[in-house]
Amino acid sequence: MVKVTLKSAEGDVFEVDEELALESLMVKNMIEDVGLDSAISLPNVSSTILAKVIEYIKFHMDAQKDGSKKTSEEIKAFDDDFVNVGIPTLFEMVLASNYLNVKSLLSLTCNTVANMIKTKPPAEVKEMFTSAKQAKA
Amino acid sequence: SLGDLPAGCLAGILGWLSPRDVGRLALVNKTFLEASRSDAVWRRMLPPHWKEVVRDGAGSAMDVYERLSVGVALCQIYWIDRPTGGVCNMISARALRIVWGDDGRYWDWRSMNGSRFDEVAFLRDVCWLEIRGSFSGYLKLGSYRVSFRLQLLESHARRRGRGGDWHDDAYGWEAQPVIFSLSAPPSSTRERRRYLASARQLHRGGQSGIDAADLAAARVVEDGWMEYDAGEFCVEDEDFPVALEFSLVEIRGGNWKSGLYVDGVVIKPTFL
Repeated sequence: MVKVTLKSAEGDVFEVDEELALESLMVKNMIEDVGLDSAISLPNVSSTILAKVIEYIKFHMDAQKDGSKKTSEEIKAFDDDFVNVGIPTLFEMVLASNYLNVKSLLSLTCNTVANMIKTKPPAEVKEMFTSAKQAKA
Repeated sequence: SLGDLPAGCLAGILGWLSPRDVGRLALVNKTFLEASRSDAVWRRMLPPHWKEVVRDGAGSAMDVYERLSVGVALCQIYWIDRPTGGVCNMISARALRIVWGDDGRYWDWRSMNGSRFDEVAFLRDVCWLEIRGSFSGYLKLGSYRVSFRLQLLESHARRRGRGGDWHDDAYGWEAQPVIFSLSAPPSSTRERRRYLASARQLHRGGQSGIDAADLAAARVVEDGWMEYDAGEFCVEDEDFPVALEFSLVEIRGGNWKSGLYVDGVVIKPTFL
């Protein structure tokens, strides 16, 4: 099995199967452009988030394989658990899946955010919109 | 925070909400307002196969959604003639089966003066002209006429088209007549022929080579529209629905034909 080396924002190195790496259309394009010889640098993705993304892709690839005994309930439970994180992490995952172009994870995370803001009045959503920025300042 | 997400992600999030929620969240701030109007969001709100309904889907996805929410007159209008109580029906061009009608190179859809439907079909160019349709429903006793409501493009009619700048007149209609047909069981199918002409040309005469009995009658109605009769039928039992099939075909000549507007098919009592 061919391996692909991914390098996170912090410079941590993740070695993954090529099959898994290709699930990210962004990485797939990069491999097509520059080949497999050097590590693929992902300066916009932190190690924590990259590890999460890899975990997500790996689970779903295994679940889709022939002979997988995962039921759709188990898959849903994994997804629910996967996005059951703090808001900052969730937003980072939206950004990362958008950047890496992993469609299924982008859908999952966007859907989660949508459910969070669905019932909130605009004023509260506005607070979510600006809160972190103010905290930084 | 939400503010760190690029516009594309925000649209991706809003796309999971209902149209009502999207409208509500447009109030959050300018970024939300912009995202709430994006095609990425509204394409997800449009029903599947909406292009079958709004074929000239020009404009933003939000415009299309708005248009669909107002309602699109699609298929058929049923009305009674106020002075006589005669039952009339009109089937729109959309409800007809037009060969090549889905292909913008050959046919497109336009809004036109004098049409009761949102859009009429416009023939850009085909060799194989084939339009078929059907009707079933209850009518009052009496005799009825089935007519295609058509219009040939004319230079002086240019201003009528919404799209604007058509440079060519209609062409390809002089070489041979088109064939209209009507099947109204239990009567056998009857064919009629006529050279198509614009309202202006109609009285120039010369439907050569067609027996008078086979000649489809044609009348100018309004706004340049003409009615070409496919045939007549009789209703002898009001409690028995009629089942009609009709067509307009020109495939023998096989030359290129262009510039025909098709509004639909009208089924009216012959006394009207």
